[in-house]
Amino acid sequence: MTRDSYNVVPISLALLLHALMFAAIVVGFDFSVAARPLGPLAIKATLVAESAVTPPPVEEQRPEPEPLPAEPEPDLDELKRIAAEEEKRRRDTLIEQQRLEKIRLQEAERKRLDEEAETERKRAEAERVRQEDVKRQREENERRRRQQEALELQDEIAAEDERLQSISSGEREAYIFAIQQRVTRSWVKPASAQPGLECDVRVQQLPGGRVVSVIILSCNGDEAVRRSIEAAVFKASPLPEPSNLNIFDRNLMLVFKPEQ
Amino acid sequence: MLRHTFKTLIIAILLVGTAQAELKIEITQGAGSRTPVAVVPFAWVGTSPGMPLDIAEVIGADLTRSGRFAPIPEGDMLQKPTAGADLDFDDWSILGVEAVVIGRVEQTGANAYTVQFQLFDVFRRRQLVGYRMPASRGTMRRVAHRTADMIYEKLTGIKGVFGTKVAYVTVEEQRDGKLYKLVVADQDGENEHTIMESADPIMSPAWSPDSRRLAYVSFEGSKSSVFVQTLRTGNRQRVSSKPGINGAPAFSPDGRKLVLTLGGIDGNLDIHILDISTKKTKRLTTHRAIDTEGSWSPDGRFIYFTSDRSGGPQIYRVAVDGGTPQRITFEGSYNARPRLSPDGTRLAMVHNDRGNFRIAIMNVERRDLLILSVGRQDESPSFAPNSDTLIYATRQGRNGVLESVSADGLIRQRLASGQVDVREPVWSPFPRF
Amino acid sequence: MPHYKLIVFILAAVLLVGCTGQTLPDPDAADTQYGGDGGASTDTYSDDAYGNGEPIADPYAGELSNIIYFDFDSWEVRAMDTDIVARHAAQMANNSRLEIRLEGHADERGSREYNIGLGERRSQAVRRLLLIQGAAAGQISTVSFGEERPQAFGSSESDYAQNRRVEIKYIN
Repeated sequence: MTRDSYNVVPISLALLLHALMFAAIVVGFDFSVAARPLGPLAIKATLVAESAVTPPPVEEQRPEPEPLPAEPEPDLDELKRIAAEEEKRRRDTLIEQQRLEKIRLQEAERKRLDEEAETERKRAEAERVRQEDVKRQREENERRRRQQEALELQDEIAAEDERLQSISSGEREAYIFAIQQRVTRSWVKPASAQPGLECDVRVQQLPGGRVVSVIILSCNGDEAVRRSIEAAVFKASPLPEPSNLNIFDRNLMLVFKPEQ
Repeated sequence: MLRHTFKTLIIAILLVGTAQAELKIEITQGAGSRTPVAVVPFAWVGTSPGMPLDIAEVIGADLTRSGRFAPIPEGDMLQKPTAGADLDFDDWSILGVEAVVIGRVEQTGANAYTVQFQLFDVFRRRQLVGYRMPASRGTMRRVAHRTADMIYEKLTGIKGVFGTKVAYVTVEEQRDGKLYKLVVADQDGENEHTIMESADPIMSPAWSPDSRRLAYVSFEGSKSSVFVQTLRTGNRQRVSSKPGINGAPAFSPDGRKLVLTLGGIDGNLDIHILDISTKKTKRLTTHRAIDTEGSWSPDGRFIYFTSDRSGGPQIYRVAVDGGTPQRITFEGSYNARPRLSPDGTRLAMVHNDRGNFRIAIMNVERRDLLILSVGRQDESPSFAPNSDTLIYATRQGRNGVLESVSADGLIRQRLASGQVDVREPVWSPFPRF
Repeated sequence: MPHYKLIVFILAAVLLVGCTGQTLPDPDAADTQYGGDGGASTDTYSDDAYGNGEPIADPYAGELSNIIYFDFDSWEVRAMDTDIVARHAAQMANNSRLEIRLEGHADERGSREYNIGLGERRSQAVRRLLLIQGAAAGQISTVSFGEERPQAFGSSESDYAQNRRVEIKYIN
């Protein structure tokens, strides 16, 4: 498999990963929770609130309209008249009363409606505020998550730095030098080795330094050169151990490149 | 589905991370100079109590003498297998041995044997090379050298020269004067044969490309002449005996011509080419200075030679077809006796290094000079046919002795030195089987 | 001020020239490293002798030497030896049946075939002198043994001085 075709896989996978992360953020937190536990307090609170994101069912308290009273009947002549007047007065009063009542009712209704509108307005406002809160909280969550990730990445980098630093402060060089010396001593460069010889060799070792495999990756030398290199590495087994076990690597890359 | 993709991704990231964290170690030299090997004594299957020649001993001696191998002593061997199936690779890897040679000699007739050997790679746990060869008592040593050659080539990547020969001149003091001998021997010093001897000096032996003839200068009759002698028959032919100097012969790559130095009556030494069959000569240089010690480039196109036309001796070259010589060396006041490596990449010479005459080689392309020897009076460098080693003469007391040195200068060996004065070694080409 | 500069410059130049004069490599300097003082023979002869003229030896007085010695890397017959060559030339001129072989030699330093060339140059130098002084070309043959036949076997400069020579051999 060539190097070029090899790259296609990681690149497309990386692209896919980005797409997936974006999708995860947009679609919801369930997945991201699973993938990465989120931080404390605010975030948790938001998560609880999140389940109430759907607006609570507000009761529409719209009362049934009240039934209006029935119409009174008229009297004979005087009686009829009185009665009629009485009736008329009573009726007027009643009408007046009814009118007043109607007005009162209308007033009440208007007031009620006003109140209702006010309530509705307040509720809408509250909802808007809450929605904004949610949105803010989401953004905050996202920000914290990012921050958290950045922190973790920083920690990782710091840890790697530390590892590398502990190594590069001499131990790594010492380890490389020890292996170099050992292999150099055991290598008899064959007479056929030409100036410009360069052979890349992958060596697998076990903890303790025992060489388990020697694979010549690329080499411009002849068969005698290849044989001598394999023999040199095997003769050097077990390879020296590092003073700091962090440095130990099962896989070594040896480059045979004699100076001419 | 999502989670699965995620997992894959994380694993991919982890893998990348591991690859980056891998320790990278550069090996900029090989400090080991000799490859540890084991040559297990060969098994003997025959009627007599022992085999005619201890093949393993000859192989071990060859490998040791090359300076590139350190065969372990027999006493250190944990096992002495003679068949591949009996080999326990762990036993050898514990000893740090990279390769093991095992074999057997089997008698198949009155003077007929079969020699077989196998070379195993201890760490890869497999055979690198294995052969079965017929032999007689007379050829057994040669078979052993061939075996060593095959082992050497497998492990070093360059051809072995254990099957080659060396010619040289010896001088012995006798009651009534000196005795000069022209000697041919195996490159390990065995099988010495004197092919010519004379009370007058013998000089400048040179191999033909097929290793069957030697050209040399003889002063018999107090006059220099160039001879070509066929080794097998001992027949020799006086190919040049003109008035004055006849010297410094060297064969052309096709073996048909010699480059040599002729001085004439007036003693002006110049480079000439002689056609051996027609005896016709062609003059290549005409300068009044000393022009001598010509040798052919392996491609046959140029003659490299010594000339003091600039004052002191320096190395020049001239096209075989003629033309103006071109100066090659500029470093130091004295560079002489040029010899190109058979692969044409390096030029060996005698170089005056602050008062000491030493063997140096120059990379023909880069022109950088590397001084290979450490003596005071070293001379006659001659390349082995694999271009990797040179043989030359140095002084030990009053006597000349032979040394060899790898072309990188790292491995220098003194060859067996007897009581005689040895000089002018010349390495034969590869034998033709 | 400019005067000072000039003086300093001139001084520097003088010093420089002086230094150069002292440190300029002697063409033969490298050679002297091998053997020290160059041998007793070179010291016995001073420049004054040239100024005073050369005494001509009686060609028939005393035993005639057959060996001519040479300085390092040189093939000139030294003035002190010219009379030896002259006496041989006189003998040969008087007797045309005499034939000689001039055998040139070199010391062991350096390459063998190149040393053959150096020995031959010495033979030729003696040959030319003989021819000038009356010997016939047909009476003389030359050969060079280079470093192959040393007279002295050591590796000191005095050994080398004995080996840089031409031997005059009467072959008929």
